[in-house]
Amino acid sequence: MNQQTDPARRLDALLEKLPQAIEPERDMWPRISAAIAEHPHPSTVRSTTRRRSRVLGSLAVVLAASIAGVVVLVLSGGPVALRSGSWMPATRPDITTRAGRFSGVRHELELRYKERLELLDPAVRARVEADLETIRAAQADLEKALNDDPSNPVLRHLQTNSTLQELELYSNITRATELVASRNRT
Amino acid sequence: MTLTAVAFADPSDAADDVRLVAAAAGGDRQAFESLYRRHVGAVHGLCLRLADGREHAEDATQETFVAAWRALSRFEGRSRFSTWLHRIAVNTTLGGRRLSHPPLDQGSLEEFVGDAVSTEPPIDIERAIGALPPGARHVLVLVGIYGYTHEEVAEWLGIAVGTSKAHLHRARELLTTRLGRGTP
Repeated sequence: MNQQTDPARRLDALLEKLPQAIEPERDMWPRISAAIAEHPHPSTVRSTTRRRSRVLGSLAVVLAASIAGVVVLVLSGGPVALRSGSWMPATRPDITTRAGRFSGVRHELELRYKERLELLDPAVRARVEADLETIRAAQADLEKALNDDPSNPVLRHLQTNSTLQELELYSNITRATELVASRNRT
Repeated sequence: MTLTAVAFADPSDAADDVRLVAAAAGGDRQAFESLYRRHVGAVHGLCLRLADGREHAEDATQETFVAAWRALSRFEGRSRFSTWLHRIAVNTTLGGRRLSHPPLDQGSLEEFVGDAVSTEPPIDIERAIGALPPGARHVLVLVGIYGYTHEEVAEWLGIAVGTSKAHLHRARELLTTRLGRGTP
């Protein structure tokens, strides 16, 4: 069927050709520059971001710990199988460093997430996977930027945020599918 | 959770954005100017298609960047900078208006098609989009041209996902009817 006899297809072709960008007829920067000169910039961001990065870094560990707890509880179907004094799942006793433990928890969460993904409705699953893809794209961007400027506190802050969001997504899916998963176990 | 799946043609662009955002958030105006230069076309295109006229679109474009400068410290990196900026552009252009009204009824459809048929072929798709009723136009622009999901668009416009889908369906219906009647 050609484009003339299929208006819907023709419309798709026309929309596809439309550019997203349309340059303004005149340079707006001078007006914008003047306008932002009147607004005090959130200049405290640099100093506060260092503090926030530290706080968020700690929060990431705490969140990961609680998420890991959820996962272990879910997996064990009963008492939390944690080693005494540790927030790590007992399934990874070899990991001793903090960074290693963090990676371990992340890995566990991701595995659980992948298992639970199968239980979701296909449409929901597609949306969740798209969300994760977006998070990972943002993480890749941040890693590239951090390669050039490894000590930048704002980049570190953004990286921590994206990591937290990834963990949150894993945790949410695990929690949301718990009922179905427990039914399947029994 | 609502995230964006709009992709950059070159992934390094987004990484560059992140570096520039970090610098601009620290008060570097040159970095912010670079962000402006990189994104003004897409922002202006979005504002032009959502606004009620060129002047309105230019004001909205300017306000978008001023608002972005003021809000940079709140950019959390949970989406790409372009998505964050486009959301500001939508809010600025539409002024927080809510589009909960239903799509056009059949009478309005006939009226739209009648108007559209009187234009000279080939179809000026931009003009045809501009002639769509506001709700249908906003959704068509954001979903059909900028590639955002219905979930994102629904959240941005303050409407239900189903309403967003209905708006898109009606927009496409109006435009395809227009295409079917027009001479290629």
